Amino acid sequence: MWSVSDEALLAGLASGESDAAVAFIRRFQRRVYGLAMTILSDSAAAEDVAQETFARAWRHAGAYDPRRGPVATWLLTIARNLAIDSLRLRRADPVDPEILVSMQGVSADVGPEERAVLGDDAHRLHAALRELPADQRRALVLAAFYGKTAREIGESESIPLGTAKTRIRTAMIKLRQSLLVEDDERDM
Amino acid sequence: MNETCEQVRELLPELALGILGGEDRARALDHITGCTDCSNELASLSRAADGLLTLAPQHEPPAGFEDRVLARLRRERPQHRARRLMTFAAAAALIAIVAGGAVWVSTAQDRRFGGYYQRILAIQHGTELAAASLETTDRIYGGEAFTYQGNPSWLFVVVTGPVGDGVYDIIGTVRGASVKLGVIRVAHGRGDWGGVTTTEMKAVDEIRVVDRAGQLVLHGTVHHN
Repeated sequence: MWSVSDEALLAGLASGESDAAVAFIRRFQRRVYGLAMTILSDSAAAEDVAQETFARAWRHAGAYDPRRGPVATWLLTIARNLAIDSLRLRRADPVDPEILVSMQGVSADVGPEERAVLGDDAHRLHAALRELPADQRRALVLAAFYGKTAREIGESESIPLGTAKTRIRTAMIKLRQSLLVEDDERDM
Repeated sequence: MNETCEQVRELLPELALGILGGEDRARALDHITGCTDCSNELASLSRAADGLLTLAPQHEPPAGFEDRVLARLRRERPQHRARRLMTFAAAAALIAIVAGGAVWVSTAQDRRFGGYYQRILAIQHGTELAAASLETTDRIYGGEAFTYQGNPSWLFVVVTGPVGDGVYDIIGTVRGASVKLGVIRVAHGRGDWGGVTTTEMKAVDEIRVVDRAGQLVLHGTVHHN
């Protein structure tokens, strides 16, 4: 079952195959719950978000479009949006964004196919994130993980809106560039 | 790259991160629809933005998590189906009420539906009943919209999908212009709104549900006859 592709497992989940549902949950639960915990820092709230993420994946599996990205990022985007909603509902403040910088990057326990699609990007992005100046990294993490707008980041960091936008834009361009450069090298 | 491209490029990193709202978001999306270069630029920035989420540390969920998720999927299965049926039943009931007391016959066969449909349109001098499936920008199903061109014209919107609780504006695109049609309140992931409108419903090409910051939440193309 573990050699089955993510897309096939998602299709199995949608069709109501219990084996596929179990395999799908086992494959992604640490990532989904881990992302929810990263954003919420509350195990009960993170479990609610993780459960709802899988329920929505099941309900909306038919709407997944592989051209728009791997199953893992589709699922994690659902989890992120739910976690941000939960964060806003509880009016909780994000944890220190620097905690994400100390992350070890993608884990070693991903399948070869997933590593091929996701792993390379994750390693490059992790390296690029670490190289960013602290103020840019902070703005980027607040936006990407906590859904903070440029205006909210400007207010929380006590910087003008234009500066917040510049930090986000500069950081994103550097991260995107890290992916493009690596692509170019691989193509040579 | 023209001047518009340069202006839109400034907005794309925030758009890729999902934090751009209001007019800026609408302007950027509008431009991207017709600009391959900017669309490609957004795709590569989105790859970086989405990829960041994979960097979050993995964490073992509490014991029994898998069983609780499976139990929830089993519980929700019949409700999920019933809700979809209810959506259409609610729309059908509204059609009957607005059309002046026509009776919905639940046992009617398909071949009778054409006559029923025609009768509704004729009773209220209506010309068209149309529907749109609403989706998120990630193409996740989120609800339905029904439009009716008649006297009066009306709109009925049901939200059942991945939308946070809150109040949202229902916007129609009429000959390229945005027209506010109604307001929908979503609670526990569900909401519905219906009302009479003076807007020419047969000219509505798209229905959008946007939050109070102007950020697009759901949208769908209205399929006219």
